[in-house]
Formats: sequence, structure tokens, C-alpha cells
Amino acid sequence: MKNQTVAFVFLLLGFFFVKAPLFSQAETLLFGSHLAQAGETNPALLNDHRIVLMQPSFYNNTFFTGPTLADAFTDVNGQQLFDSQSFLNALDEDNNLLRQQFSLNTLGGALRLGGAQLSLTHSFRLEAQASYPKQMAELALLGNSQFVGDTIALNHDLQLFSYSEFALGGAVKLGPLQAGVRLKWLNGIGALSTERGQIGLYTDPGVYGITFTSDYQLNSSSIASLSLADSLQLSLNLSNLDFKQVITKNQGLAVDLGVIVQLGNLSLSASALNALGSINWSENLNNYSSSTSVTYSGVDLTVLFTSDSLDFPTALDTLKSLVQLAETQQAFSTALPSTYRLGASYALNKSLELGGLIALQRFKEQTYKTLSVYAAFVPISWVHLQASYSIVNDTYANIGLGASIQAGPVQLYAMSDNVPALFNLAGSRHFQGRAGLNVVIGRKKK
Amino acid sequence: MKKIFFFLALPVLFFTACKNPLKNYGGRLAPEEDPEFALPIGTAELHMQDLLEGKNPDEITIDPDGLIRLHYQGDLLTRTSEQIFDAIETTLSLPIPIDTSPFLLPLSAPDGLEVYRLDLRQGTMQFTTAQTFGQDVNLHLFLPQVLDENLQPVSLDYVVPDLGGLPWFSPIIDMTDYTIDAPNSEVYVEYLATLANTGDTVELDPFLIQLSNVEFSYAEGYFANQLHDNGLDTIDIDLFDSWLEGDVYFADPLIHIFVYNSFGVPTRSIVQVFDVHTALGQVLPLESPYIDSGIDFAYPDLYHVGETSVTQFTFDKDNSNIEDILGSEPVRLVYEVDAITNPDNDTAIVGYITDSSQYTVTVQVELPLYGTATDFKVRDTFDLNLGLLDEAQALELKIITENGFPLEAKMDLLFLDENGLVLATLFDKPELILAAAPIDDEGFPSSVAVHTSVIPIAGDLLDQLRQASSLAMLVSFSTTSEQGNQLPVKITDQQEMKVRMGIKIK
Repeated sequence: MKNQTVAFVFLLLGFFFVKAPLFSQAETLLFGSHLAQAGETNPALLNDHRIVLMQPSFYNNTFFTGPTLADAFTDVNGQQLFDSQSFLNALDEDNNLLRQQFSLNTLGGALRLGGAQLSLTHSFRLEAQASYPKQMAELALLGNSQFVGDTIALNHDLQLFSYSEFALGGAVKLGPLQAGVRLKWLNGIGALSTERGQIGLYTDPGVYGITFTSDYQLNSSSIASLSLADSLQLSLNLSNLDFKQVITKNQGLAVDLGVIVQLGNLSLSASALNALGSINWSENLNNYSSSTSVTYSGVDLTVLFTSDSLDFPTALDTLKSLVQLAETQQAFSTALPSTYRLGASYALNKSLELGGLIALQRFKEQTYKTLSVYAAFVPISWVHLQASYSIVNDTYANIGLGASIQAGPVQLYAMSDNVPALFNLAGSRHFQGRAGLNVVIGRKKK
Repeated sequence: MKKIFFFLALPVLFFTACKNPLKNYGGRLAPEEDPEFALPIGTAELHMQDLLEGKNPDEITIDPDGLIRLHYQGDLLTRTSEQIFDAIETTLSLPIPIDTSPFLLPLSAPDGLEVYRLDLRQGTMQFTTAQTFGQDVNLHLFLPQVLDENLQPVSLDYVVPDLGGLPWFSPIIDMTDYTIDAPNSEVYVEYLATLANTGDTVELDPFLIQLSNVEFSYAEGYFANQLHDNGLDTIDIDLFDSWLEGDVYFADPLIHIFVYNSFGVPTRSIVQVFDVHTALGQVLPLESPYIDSGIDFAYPDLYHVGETSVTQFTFDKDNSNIEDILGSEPVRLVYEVDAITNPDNDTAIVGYITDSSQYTVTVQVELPLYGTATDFKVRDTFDLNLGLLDEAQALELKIITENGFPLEAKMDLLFLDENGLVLATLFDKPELILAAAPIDDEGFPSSVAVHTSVIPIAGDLLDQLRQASSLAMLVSFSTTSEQGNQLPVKITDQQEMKVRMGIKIK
């Protein structure tokens, strides 16, 4: 047991020191909770109650690298002024991330019969991720003058999609082993996704001729349309997205797998969520692509020698000449972020449990890793308290707090893996929280 | 909560419920750090060959070495034989009294015109008399110099009745293709009138010959001094339409006079007016010995009837003051070149005219683009559409010129309001935009001159540009100079320039 524990700790540390973005995708507190929603972190988890009716709840997770609001804004005589230099200084040269997850769990239920459990839930989910280089922000904020004579790499990736999810889960306990699986039927609501995101821009030092190279494709379903007819316009058609559309033609499947091994007071957990999950988009499609290497040298001004009017080209002329956008309506697919967790918990006594968690999430080309520890305390039977500590993106003040209170069959809960951020919006890069309620019936004796 | 908008808005609401860190947002900390974009405006290429393409070859010609010559041509002033024939026809159109027999009908005019031969294209002849002899009169007419279409002398016999004094008219004689051969400029007419009953010879009084609708196809004789009045003509030289000031010197300008003459008569020019009007309002007369003495025009002699002789006379720097008057910003040439026949009154010269004879004069100014220019200033106005400059806070215009012309250009821009009033000027004084290409010994450009200009426009100047509805471009051209001296340069069809413009906009 001691060797196993030591090996586990080394595994955690080795994983932690691999250079990669770190943030708390792991939902540490949910993982360590006794709530039915903890099954979202590992489908092998068995509820404490025979019947759980999951009422609406929400989960939000916002994370970004680079500048915080405090980096971007400076207080001058009570006014918040945007400090572009400070903003840019806080950006990474090559890769800056913006990650947003949101889910609204509408209704769900779980039934536990002895060592077996069945669950059925419905959720609306939003996944968003953007990665961009510093030069992209510099171009937007300071223009291309500073890049005259240089090639700017504007490679970026954008993933934004929402979907309706029906999940049917099952878990079974066989001795010290618990195993679970959850099948998800996904109905895409809307998507905006870069399939290819290579863009380069070179400004000639002569008279600023611009060479635009691209291998780019942006796919959209329902959410957006892009127009270069009268102006460069990206229209987000959010009003087209109706939550009544819980079932759409944009279909997808995903599966969650999990296993738990109970060794005395030590519990080891492993799960893989959304493995191989994807959505095929086929409704209200638009694909905007540009594969070109073109140099724009302005308009032909030879007419100046014979004309009586002087018309300067518009920015739109420039863009149209460069981008050479092609529009098609081809189906496409988006892969869901897949999450892998390894966790361990140890029950010191009936009231106190300690645990640790490492998690890895892959979303397109990005990999997120998490290392955290937590403690769960049950002072009285109807109150559960939790606390966590995470090292997130080279910051060391990420304290999580959570609580659930059960009044009769009603179970209320709220938690956040980074509570200080709620009181320091300007200085934080990670905001996470979950809240909701359940109706629970028939407590299962452990 | 139907819409995903609310779905997305929830986290925002959640966080804003805690604290809104941007409730007092006041803009950028450093407005001078607003984005500055560098964009190409475009390229203008001027190739002389393109400019010349499609031009009237009568207006622009290219020498074998490429030198361009501009030609400004006046109207074609044409005088036909009609004028002279009209004079003869007028002389013969009145009834001619035959008061004796034989009678010599003169073919001459008071101005000295003497006709020795006439070929008729059409016309009629009729005789009129009246008699009261109480019996018929037999009339015999003989015109040995009037030959019918078979070249037979005209001989006519009529019976003239007594009409109690009323006029008797002979039948009308068609004279088409008749020839009048009058070597002494006189036509011999003989008649004999005898009483039908007695045979006595009588005199008819009155007795008239009436020629009607006579048109000649050929006349030969001495035409004396017939003046061809060509009237005043003007040649506009648009090269200086936009000229404001400065000097231009054409190294070898020419004025050509072309005469196409099918009159068989010696003719000489009479220059009534030959003035160059300059952009400064000066009127400079062309001076040359040939203005005073006149120019003799070639003519086809009696052995070349129907042919056209061409005379080209050229005023150049060696025979006139043309270099001075066309080197002074000419805007128009006003001239009247008349012509006079038989200028030396040599009656021994027998000439001719036909009904197709004509005399055409045209004047042409030829300006080879070879010379010098010093601060040749022109102004042109453009309507202005600022486009992407509309919202600019500052801008910097960059102009790179590659010039194969041996001309430099300094430019200033005037920002004009709707009434054409100057709001501001881009520079304090015209700035060099185009450097002149260096030249070889013959005045041809030897390489391309590259010049870069960077022109910042910001603050009040930009505001005034934004208010402007049009731009006036003042450009002064000067030819390539060496140590301050303007050198004669040549503009050829191979020369070209490229102007590339870019802009930085903040």
C-alpha cells in the first residue's frame, strides 16, 4: 500500500512538471463530492441515494492565458483606461488561449439498485476555445505599420459550438471494483470552427504592398455568416439558435468510461470522458475558405494621368483583393474535448476525506493539465464542506470552496475551484463555478 | 430562456453580479498608440507608347530614334476654279448686242483676264432680233471660232418674220461640249440678213446673242492677278492649356505650309497674318524673308492638265524667328495665307483652269519634344473621395517614383473647398516628387531616376484635407539640369515612369 501511494505521488508530480498550459479543468470539488453530479467526472461513481432527481443546475468555466483585466486596464483618476502596451506585454509570443465551458443541466435522474446504477440526464453545453499568437493582437491593436518588412504569422484556431446532450449511464460494483459507462447522444445547435487556420501577412517596405498567404477554412453551422460583399462582416446569428431544438440534424455520439478501485480507505479513480466524441454538422452550413498567396499592391492609378477624380481605395478593396474568400456548404465535424482523470482519495475517518487529482484534457491541438488536492469534511450529516488547492498556470493562490446542504429530500450545492477569483475579477484568469439542486430519496448505507 | 443568448449571458451575469471592473471605462490610455496601418494605394505607370497608341498619326509622329513630334494642323483651306469661272460666266451672261457684222465678241475682263480658249460643259445660245420690213428676212449666222461637239464651226440660217416690232427669238442652241477658240481673246461673229422677197441686204437692229447657263470645263488664257482669299484661320496648341508659369524652349520647332495646286497658273503666297499668341498674352509675328517676298507655289503646266502640284515650304530656325516665337509658350497660331495668280504680271504665261482645278493650303505647326523646360508649372484639379482616409487621425503618404523621363517634377497640393477657395497647402513650397533621369550627349535619358518622398499629414492639415472637396495639384516641370544649367532633352516613345504610392494611416 505504501509503495503504491509513493508511486502514485511520483506519477502526479511527473505529470505536473511536463511543460504545458495548466488550469483547473478537473472540477476538483465536484470530483471529490458526494453529489450525483460527481458522476460527470467518472461514470463509475455510485450515488449515496437510491433515487436522485437532478434539477436544473449550471456550470461555468472560463480560463484564459495572457493579460488579465488588471493588465489591460489602468485606473487614471477613477477612469479605467485601456493600456495596450501592458495588454500586449502580458501575451505569449506564440500561443494565447481563451477557453470557455458552460453547461446547463436541465433535468436528470439516477436510480441505484444495490451495486448497480442507471442514470439519464439532459444538458445544454457550450464549448469554446480560441488560440492566437501575440502578433494577431498586435496587428489588431497597433496595426501593421510596425511589421513593415516582416512577415506576421496570424495562425489561430477557434472552436465554438453548443449542443444538446442526452446521456444514458450505467455503473456496477463488483467487489472492490466499480466500473461505469455513459453513452451520449449529441444534437448540435450551432458551431463556428476553424478547420485550417494558417494566415501570414507580409508588408513590403516599399509602398507597403501586402502579401497574404492563407490555408484557412472556417466552418459555421447556424451561428455565423461571413460576408465580403459590402463590408467584411462576421454576423453571429444567435437568434437562430433555439433551445427548443433539443434534437437537431447535427448528430453526434460520445462515450464516458470510468473505473474505481476501492482499497480499504483508499480509493483510486480513472476516467475517460467524451472519448472519440464528435458532432457532424449538416444544418445551415457555411464554409469560408481561402487558400492563396497573393500580393496586393493597391489599385491601378494610371487613370490619374487622365482622370479628373482621385479616389483612394477603401480598406474593403484591400481585404477583398487579399482574402479571396470562397464559400461552400459542406458538412463538417467537430471533436469534443476529451478529458482523462486520475484521482485518489483517502478517508481519514467518517468525517474527513483527503484526495488528489490529476487531469488531462485534449481539445484540438491544446492540452490542459491539472494538479490539485482537496479535503471533504462532513461536520453533520446534512452538511458537506469542501476545500481544494490547485496550482494553476504558475499561480499558487487558487483556493476552492464548496458546500452542499440537504434539507429533507432537497439537496442544494454550490462550489468553485477558484474562489479568490470571484473577489478579484481584474486580476484573475480562471473563473469556475457550479451550482444547482437535487431531490434525493433513499439514502444508501455505505 | 429559449435562446442561447441567455445561455451565454449567464456567466457574464454571474460575474458582473460580483463587481464590474470596467464600469468607468474611459478609452485608451495612450491615444497615440491607436493602430497604424500601412497599406498600398496603388501604382500608376505611364508609358509613352501607351499614351501614343491610337493617336492620330497626323498629330503625333515618331522619329526613327524615338523622338516625338507634335503636329498641330490648321483647317484645309480650299479654293476651286468656280470663282474664276464665275467671273467669266458673269461677263458672258448678259445679252450681247451685235451692232455690226462682222462683230468681235471680247473674252476678257477689266481686271486683265484674257481667255483664249473655253470648253463648255453645258450652256445654250439664242439670238434675238425684231424687224418691221413688211416681209420675212433670211438670216445667216457664221461663228467660225465657235466649234460644235464635232469641232465644226457654227453656221446657222433662220427666217425672221415681221412681227410688227415684237422680238423674234431663234431656237435655243445646246452648246454642251462646244469649244470657243479665241487666240486673241475675241470671238468673230458674222451675220447676213436679206429680205426674202427682194434679196436686199438689211441691218438688224437690235440683234442680240444671249448665252445662258454656261458652265465651262476648261479655260485657257491669261488670268491676271486673281486673289485667293483664304480667310483667317487659327491653330490651337493645347500643350499649354494648364500652364501657369515657367519657360519652355523647343530646340527645333517648324511651321509647314502645304499647297496642293491643280490650277495651271503661277501663284504666290501673300501672308496677311502669321502671329503666335503666347500664354502670356503676347502676339509675336512670324518674321522671315519669305513672309515679305512670298512663296511661289508649284503648278501643273499645259502639258500636265489635271495633275496636282505640291509645294511644301517650311519655316525653321534658319529662315525665320520661329525659335523665339514658338519657344515662348505658344497657345495658338493665327494666320491668313492668301494667294495671288500671276504675281509678276507676265502676260506671256498662258495658264489654264479646269472645272476640277483647286488650290488647297494648310498650315502645320511641328513641335519636336526636344528642348528645355524650367519650372514649367501646370495646375490640375481633382475631385476628392477620401475613402479610408475619412476617419484617419494621421497619415503618412509615401511616394516612390521611377522616372525614365528627363523631367523632374516638384509638386504642391492645394486643398480646395466647394467654392474652389484654398483651405490649406500641403507644403510650404513645392517639393521634389519626381527626379529627372540623367541624359547622354544627345539628350536621351541614360538611366532611370528613383526618388522617394514621405509626406506626413496630421493635425489641422488633415482636418483641412478632410474638409476639402477637391485637390488642386500644382506641378512644375524642369528638364534635366547639370550644374544649374538646363540641358536640351528629348522625349521619346520609349520613355516611361512608374509612380507607386502607399500610405500609413492612424
